[in-house]
Formats: sequence, C-alpha cells, structure tokens
Amino acid sequence: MNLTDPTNENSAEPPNRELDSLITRHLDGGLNAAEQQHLAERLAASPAARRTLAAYLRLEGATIRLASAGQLAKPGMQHDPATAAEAVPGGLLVAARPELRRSRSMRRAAMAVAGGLLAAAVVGLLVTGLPRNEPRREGELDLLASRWMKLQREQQRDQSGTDAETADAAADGDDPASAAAPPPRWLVAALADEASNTASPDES
Amino acid sequence: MSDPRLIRDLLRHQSDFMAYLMAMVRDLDAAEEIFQNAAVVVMQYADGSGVEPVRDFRAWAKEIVRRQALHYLRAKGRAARFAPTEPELLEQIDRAFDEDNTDSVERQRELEALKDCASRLPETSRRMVAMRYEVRASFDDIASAVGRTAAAVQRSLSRTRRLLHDCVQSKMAHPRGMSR
Repeated sequence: MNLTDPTNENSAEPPNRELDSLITRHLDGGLNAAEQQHLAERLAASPAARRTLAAYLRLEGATIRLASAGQLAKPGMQHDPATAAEAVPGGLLVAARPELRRSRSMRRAAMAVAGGLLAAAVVGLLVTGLPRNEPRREGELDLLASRWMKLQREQQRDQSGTDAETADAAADGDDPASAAAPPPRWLVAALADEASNTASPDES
Repeated sequence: MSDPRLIRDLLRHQSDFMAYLMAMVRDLDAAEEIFQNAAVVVMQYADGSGVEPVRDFRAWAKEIVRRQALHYLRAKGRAARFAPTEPELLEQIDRAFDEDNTDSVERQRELEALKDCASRLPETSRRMVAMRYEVRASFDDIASAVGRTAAAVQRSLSRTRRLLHDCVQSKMAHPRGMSR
C-alpha cells in the first residue's frame, strides 16, 4: 500500500501536527523569524517536543545516508548527468558534482578527492581486493584512514609551497580549515559498508 | 602519532552530524562544507603528538561541528541561501541533539524502515526527494522538473518528511510490519 500523496495540497492532515509542520518547514527553509521563535519556545518548554525534533534529525540523517548510497530513486530513474557517480577501482564511489568546483576551497576539495581516488586505487589493490559487500576487517579500514591522512599531509605540504591560492586565501581571511580537503567518499562508503555489516553499537 | 580512529569515528557519525548541520543551516551543500571543515580539525587533532584520549566522541566532535557551523554562519551572513536560524532555535536544536541517545542498532532499524517507507511513496514525491538529496537540486530546479511552483515543491517536501516520519515511527513501534 502506498503512502498518501503528499503532493495533494487538499489532502487532510491531523490537527495536532503543528510541531511536526514547524520542524519540517524549518528543515526546508520555510520558517520566518517569528515562526522560528515560536518553534524554539515549543522546544524549550517540552522534552517531548525535543524528542520529536531528534526523531526528525535522525530521519534526515538516514535520508542523507540513503541518498549517498543512491537508494532513494528507483533504478533507471533519470538523473542530471553532471551528478552521476563515477565508479572507481574497488567498486567504491565518488560523486563528480559541479558545485564542488564552485569555490576556492571546493576546488581544493575536488583535487583532494582526485588524490583520494588515486590512493583508493592503490590501497584497493593492496588491501581491498574483496567484493564490495564483503565485510572488511577493522585494521584494513584503519589503514585506509591512515593512508588518507598521509595523503592529506602530503598535499598540504605541496600546496603550501606551490599554490599561490593559499596566500590569496589567507589574504581574503578564509578559514584555514576550508583550505584543506574533505574526507573522500570512497572512505565514507567503506565505513558505511562496515557499519552495515557489523552490529557493534559503538555510538554513544 | 596519528590516530585514524578519530577520523573513522567521525565518518561513522557523518549522517548524524549532517542532519544536525542541516537543522542549523538548511542547505546540504553548506552542511557538507562545514562537515568537511570539521573533519579537517579532527584530522589535525588526530595528527597531533601526545593527544588526550577522547572519552565521549560524539559530544567532542559535535562541539567541533557546532563551532565550525557558527563560524560559517557568521562568515556567510546574508549571503547564505536561507535566512539565518534564530539563536534561540539553534540552542534548542543543540539541546535536542545532545539529549538524543538513540543507539546505532536502533538507528539501523530506522534506516531499514525508511528504505521501506520511501519505496511506498508516490513516484512524484520520491522523485522530488531524490532530486533534493541525491542531486542537491534547488526548489526551482525541482519545480521545473515536476511542473509545479517552487513554493508547492517546498510544501510538498515538508509533507513528505512528515509522512516518512510517521511511517518510520509506526514501523519502529510495530516491528512485525517491517519488510526485510
């Protein structure tokens, strides 16, 4: 059975859903300042309201996680080609999104992801000659994380000597952290795989 | 000596922190940029010599993420895609996040429930959600794709969130109904 069609503007909604409505509209950027204040007051007054917000945040996180794995759309659904994921050795994925190249820091991020892909290819050959869904051992992921950190250090060292943009960024007052690179998606994918394949509740 | 476990733990909590950031900045690209900046700070800490062991990783990393978010909000100001989040609301978002002690097993069950619930959405709704989260399309772009106004898309996505929330909560309360 399908869920009710939410695109139907006339479909009835239970009357006691004001809190849910405020939260979801906030997450979509639809609340003005007064409505945000109202939501804040409701949250401050009620632990139950904060639990509801926390549930929506977990839903948001789960949605982001499904989206990262490409599991929101049905197979065969048409996507913007610019956002199509490119397969890399080892079966891990990285998205080639044009937005990542918009800003100076994002250009650096794209460079680092490219470097990460290279490392993934090498490490993939050395370490992860495993099928994608086969659980990896903890030491292997530690090695992946360690290799990534080493790569970042090398890139930062290289950039500090040769990249004139670094000086520009400092002159522009950019946050130093934004000059560095993001964790590559191949590493995120590997960790997500591992989390799915192990049931160790290590989160606090 | 470097400690890759901190990076590994941070990436394990990525979706958790991304959701927290989404509530603060309501922009997936911005949330990702902030998370990346926070990852660099964690990496630098992990890379330092003689680092103190982190007792409560989630709380420790959340504080780094929060500070990076506040830095971003101050830096962007009016240039941000959405109107700034009121300080009182930021405080309550923080509080709700801190108070949430849902463990990873339950989060995994919620993820499985969401998969099933999302598969039951009407095609147009699922398409809009996928465009929003997978493609990071703007409301205007989604509106063009589905033949609606941007405001209608925004309202529809908010209603879809509520439906998915109700569906997931229902499945969590009645686990027999969950599809595997």
